[in-house]
Amino acid sequence: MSVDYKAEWPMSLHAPADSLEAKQPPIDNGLDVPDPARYSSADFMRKEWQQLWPRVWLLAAVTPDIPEAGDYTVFEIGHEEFLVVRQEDGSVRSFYNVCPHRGNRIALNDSGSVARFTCAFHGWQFACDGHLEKITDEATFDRKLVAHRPGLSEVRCDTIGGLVFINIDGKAPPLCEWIGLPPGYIENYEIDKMHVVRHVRSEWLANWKTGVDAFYETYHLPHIHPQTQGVMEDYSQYDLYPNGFSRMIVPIGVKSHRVSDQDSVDPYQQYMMREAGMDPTAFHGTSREVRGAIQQAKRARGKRLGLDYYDKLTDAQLTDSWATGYFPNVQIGMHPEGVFIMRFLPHATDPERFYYDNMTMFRYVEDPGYAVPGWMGLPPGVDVTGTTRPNIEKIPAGVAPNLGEVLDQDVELVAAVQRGSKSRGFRGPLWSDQEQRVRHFHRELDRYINSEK
Amino acid sequence: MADATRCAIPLAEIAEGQMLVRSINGREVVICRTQHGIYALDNVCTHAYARLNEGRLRGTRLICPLHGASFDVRDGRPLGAPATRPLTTHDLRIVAGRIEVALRPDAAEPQSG
Repeated sequence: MSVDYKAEWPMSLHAPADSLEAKQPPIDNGLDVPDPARYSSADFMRKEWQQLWPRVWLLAAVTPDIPEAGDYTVFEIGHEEFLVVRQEDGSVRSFYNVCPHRGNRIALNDSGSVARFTCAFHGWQFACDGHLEKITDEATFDRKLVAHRPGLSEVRCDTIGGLVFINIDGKAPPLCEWIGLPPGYIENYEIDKMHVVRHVRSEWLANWKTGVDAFYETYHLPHIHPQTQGVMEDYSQYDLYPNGFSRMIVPIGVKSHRVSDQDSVDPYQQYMMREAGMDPTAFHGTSREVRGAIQQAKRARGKRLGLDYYDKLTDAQLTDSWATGYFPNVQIGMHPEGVFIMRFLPHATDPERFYYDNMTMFRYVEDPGYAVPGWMGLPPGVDVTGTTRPNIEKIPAGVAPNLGEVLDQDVELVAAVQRGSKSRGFRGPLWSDQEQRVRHFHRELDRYINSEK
Repeated sequence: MADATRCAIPLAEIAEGQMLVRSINGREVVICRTQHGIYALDNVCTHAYARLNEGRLRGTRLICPLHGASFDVRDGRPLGAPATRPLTTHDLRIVAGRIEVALRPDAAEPQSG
């Protein structure tokens, strides 16, 4: 059995140039050290509200959450809320969640399904396409005041591969141009055929960018998450794409190159083999050969179960995490069995708080041997069939979000980095090549803040 | 089943994912058939008193047509705002191909509004 990768620096899986897995050419983002005030200053936060958030495409929803006409979800960012609504013709449209009459919120919940929207304040009604259907006691309004038939205010909305994005100011380039990833990159995972099986929104005591930065590199793994060493390589293949997008391919099913024993099989590797339907006691290879063996086992199982979309995925995609950064505030850990969506949502008023919003999505396969991957960290008893969309678990600051050991470790880390970033003794972050995604993200952010974009 | 606080409905009258309404002793009860079972609950939303059978049933979630409040049909607990109070659930059993619903004893008095 061949060893199909070697931990080296710079890390590359040596995929062919025309493959979606290919190492991307480097992008020179310079060596500037940014002023760390961006992590805590109210002024910088104000600039983000003016220059950034309205002008980008924001991940507002996933299509499996709104399968039928009238289904809606609410996307909340800062002080704004948006309805994302499935239409009769199958398209998806988005509206401010606000009644044009007195400004009440139209939807008072996170999701639902309605034939029309009815404002709870005075009973005004709106069709799912946003147009005004009924003004209660309309004869008591001066006709001139409502002659424009005030409906729900619409925002630009588009979808790609099961992901729904909105653009608040309506002036961003078309979504397909703005997404910096090559065609097929998102679509091949078929997120539209997955379901949200857990949704947790926890409040963290840090700026949203402190959160993004922490999740954009695996350099910290040996130090903050040493338990990953037996099953995950921390030299990731880092790739930069246009428009602030980026990826790290995190090889999984291997020991870190920092572990001297690369022969004996780690218990975590055995666990992963079992997940892939293998019998680890029948495996006689070395630790270095486990990842390839898992890939072959998953490939064979995919064929047996009729998972045709595997044909579009490379062998490495069957084991590895393609942690993909969607500028500005999203990272999706992409795996064939499911995806882990993280949104870093700014607090409405406090630059030193953000919401870490996680949607765990799983593609249900009705087969007794097809297990939910352990990396999803699902609590026991969670319904993974997709028949019932779980409510959002909202976790206030200071309470452990129970997202699994690794993520709970990050909560502590990120809060400590936030506190340190304000010290007079800190001159700004010094980013290595292993942190090139962080630099790429901040360089793109600066283009918005400085009106270069 | 001659008791005014009960009713019986042929099982074939309600498909999975569907709802039926019956008035039992002056109280409107919605019967919801889901993948997980059949359940009977009060048909009036605890938020603004809309009739829930005019809303939608998604899995085990019953969604009010007026303001989108939602309830778990298995136990009546509110799942989504603006409702905060649970729906009353009623006893239900299947006997010889018929759904029998009995008002909960503490709910057997006619609704006063």
